[in-house]
Amino acid sequence: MKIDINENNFLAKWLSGDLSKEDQQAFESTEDHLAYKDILKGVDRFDKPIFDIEEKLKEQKDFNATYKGHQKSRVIKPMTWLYSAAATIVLLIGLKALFFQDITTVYTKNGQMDVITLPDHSVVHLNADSSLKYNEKSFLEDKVLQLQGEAFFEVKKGASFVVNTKNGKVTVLGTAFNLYARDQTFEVHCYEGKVSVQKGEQEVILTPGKGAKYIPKEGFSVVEISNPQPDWLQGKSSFSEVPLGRLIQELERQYNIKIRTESIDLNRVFTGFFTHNNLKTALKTSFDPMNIGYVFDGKGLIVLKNK
Amino acid sequence: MPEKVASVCEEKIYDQLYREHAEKICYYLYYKYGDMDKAQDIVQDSFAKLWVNCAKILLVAAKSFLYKTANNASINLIIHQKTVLKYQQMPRKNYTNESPEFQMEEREFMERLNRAISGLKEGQREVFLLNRIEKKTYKEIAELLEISVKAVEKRMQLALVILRKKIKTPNI
Repeated sequence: MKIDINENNFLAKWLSGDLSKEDQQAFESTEDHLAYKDILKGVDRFDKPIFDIEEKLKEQKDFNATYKGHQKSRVIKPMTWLYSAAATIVLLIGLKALFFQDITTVYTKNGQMDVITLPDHSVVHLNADSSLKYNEKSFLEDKVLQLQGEAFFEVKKGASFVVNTKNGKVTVLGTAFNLYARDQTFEVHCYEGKVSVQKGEQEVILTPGKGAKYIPKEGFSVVEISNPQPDWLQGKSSFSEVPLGRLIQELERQYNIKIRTESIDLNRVFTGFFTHNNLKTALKTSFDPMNIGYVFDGKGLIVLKNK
Repeated sequence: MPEKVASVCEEKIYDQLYREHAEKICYYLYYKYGDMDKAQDIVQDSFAKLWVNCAKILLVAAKSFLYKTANNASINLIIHQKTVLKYQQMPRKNYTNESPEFQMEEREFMERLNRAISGLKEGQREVFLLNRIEKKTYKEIAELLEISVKAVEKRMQLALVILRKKIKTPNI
């Protein structure tokens, strides 16, 4: 007897036992039958993850207690005038700063870089999520800059200035250097000329090819550098024995992403680099060697898990 | 005299609803989208919405509210993203008298099967896994998804044919 398994949902009926006896027997003697049996046997070996009802119910109660839903944020509609007023005040303050203080501030967001020429023709390359502040009018006299984040300075020959950060101070004399000041980390690499790096009472003088890294409680340590320019100017970020947390922050900065790290030990030490133009490659080179897995969760988040 | 109607706002009733439906909705989303973490998040969110709106929702409508909310949430979250599916495999038994080659082939087969299931359309996958893992009948699935038994059979049929084809020629 001839059977057609594509006809009339034949396979579905076979599974639910709704075939006629003849059809069933005819099918069981075919090669197809074996192949389908294998598939079903394989599927039987799949297991579902556990859902612990009582545990989850407890979590749910906690979640409900803090859950606001979406209604509440909409209540403030009639207050729009307040926003306009606030915006006007902010604008006025901004204008005042602009007209009366001549402070120039350059910000970069995550995923952005910028190049700034200072009044003395020195050039500053600003890395992502950083800010540089200086007084346009008085810069040539007081020669002071404020930096938060990371920047590479190419100082005009003969020029000199001081870069203040919340982590320490750098004095320069016709030179090229990279300055990193974020969180607790304060790191300066000298590429040309001479830089003096100060933190509190301590001072280190750097010559080309030398870098200084300040570690709280331990003080400065000197590192060797081999490349002629910082790697981030060439479209990659490299790291030498840094905590994993710093690598992850830099990834977030360069790609403007959010990475969830709850299950990861951020103090593990990382050496290596990632490129700025391909997120996939960057994640691979960063996390594969550390044996860390990553998934995109669809909300623009990347979640890390130990493999 | 009007009877006092049980309200979703009563903690006892709410807990009961949770015990009855949370797990099922979670697995249903898991079969459909292949991501347990996300399925759990959506379940939590749906039940929180039920709690916040408890005064407005009749007990008889709670179940459909939950499924609808979960479904909407998952569509919003997942539709833009090619789902990364990761169906779990049962831990293998440690003792075995099978040859290493056989075990290797076996593992490869399971991986291919996993990939093939991931490649099914959502509708086919949910029907297929609800039937194979939850052991639900076509009729039960039809009621759950609010489609006809015939449509369930059709999806089942297609799922099987596609799985077979993909396992034969794994790179398609």
